[in-house]
Amino acid sequence: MTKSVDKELLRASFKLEYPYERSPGPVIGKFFEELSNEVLVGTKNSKGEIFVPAAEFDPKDSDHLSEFVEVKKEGVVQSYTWIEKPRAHHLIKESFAFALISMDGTNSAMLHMIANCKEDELEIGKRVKVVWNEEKTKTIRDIKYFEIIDE
Amino acid sequence: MSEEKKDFFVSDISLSYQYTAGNATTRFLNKVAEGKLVAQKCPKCSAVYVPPRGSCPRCGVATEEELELPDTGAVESFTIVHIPIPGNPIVPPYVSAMIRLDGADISFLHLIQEIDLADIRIGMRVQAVWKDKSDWGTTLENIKWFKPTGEDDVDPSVFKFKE
Repeated sequence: MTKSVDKELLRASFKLEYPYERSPGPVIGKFFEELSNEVLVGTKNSKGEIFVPAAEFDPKDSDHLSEFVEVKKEGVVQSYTWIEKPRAHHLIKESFAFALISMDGTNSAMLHMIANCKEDELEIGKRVKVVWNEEKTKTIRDIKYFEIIDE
Repeated sequence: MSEEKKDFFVSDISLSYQYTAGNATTRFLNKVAEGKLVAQKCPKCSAVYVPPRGSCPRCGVATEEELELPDTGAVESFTIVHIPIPGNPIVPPYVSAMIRLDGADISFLHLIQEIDLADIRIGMRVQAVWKDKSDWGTTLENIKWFKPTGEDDVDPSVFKFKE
């Protein structure tokens, strides 16, 4: 460090951005398209296993998957991480959880958020349902979050 | 790119951060705000650095002696940019060049304009074109770009870092 400082140090705010366009492709594209219709679809392999979000290839044997099936808008919490104090970039401003949710009848799990609950209400195995965003963008954000089903 | 534009969406990955210039860069930019390019000289190897970073990377010692350099220099290296970058207001093709100011031992990146692209070459003499004084701030953008002076080229061997 030099000893002399004529004025205060200069500071500036920067925003580093990587703007790029991407195509979700025919399978995830269809999944997003249907989200905007408030419909959840997955892909089905020859053994009848169903993957949600729709997978383009079978995660085990890499078969190309093209058969779409509609699934229920309810599922089960497989695991979760509680976010006590959301930061500026989080979409939900109150405490919420990131969770892996296995939709009913599927053989996979989907990463999304669970909101409108307290930390001690949430546990693995809890049943949750989709809450839709009013505004549709044909992205995963068309699902606003999941919430616990009162039983 | 697909003709069906609707199949594409813009990803919004971004990172907001605060940049603190530090002593050497703050001093340099405060002088740039007065229209001066002030370098720092190494007390050991006497290499002249502009923009200064407060120390000599070769000798590992602080550089406190300052000296003002002219706004003239030569092209040490250059690239003609043909591909537009999103958010960049400069319309391609344009020249990005490493400019070695007269009296400096390192170069810095700036634009060269007022030139026929076919004429740009290493060793070409250039001079800064400053913005209107009323628009000056603590930024190297006070220099709009560099333009050729029309003087004879320098021998590229002068760019060799002094031993």
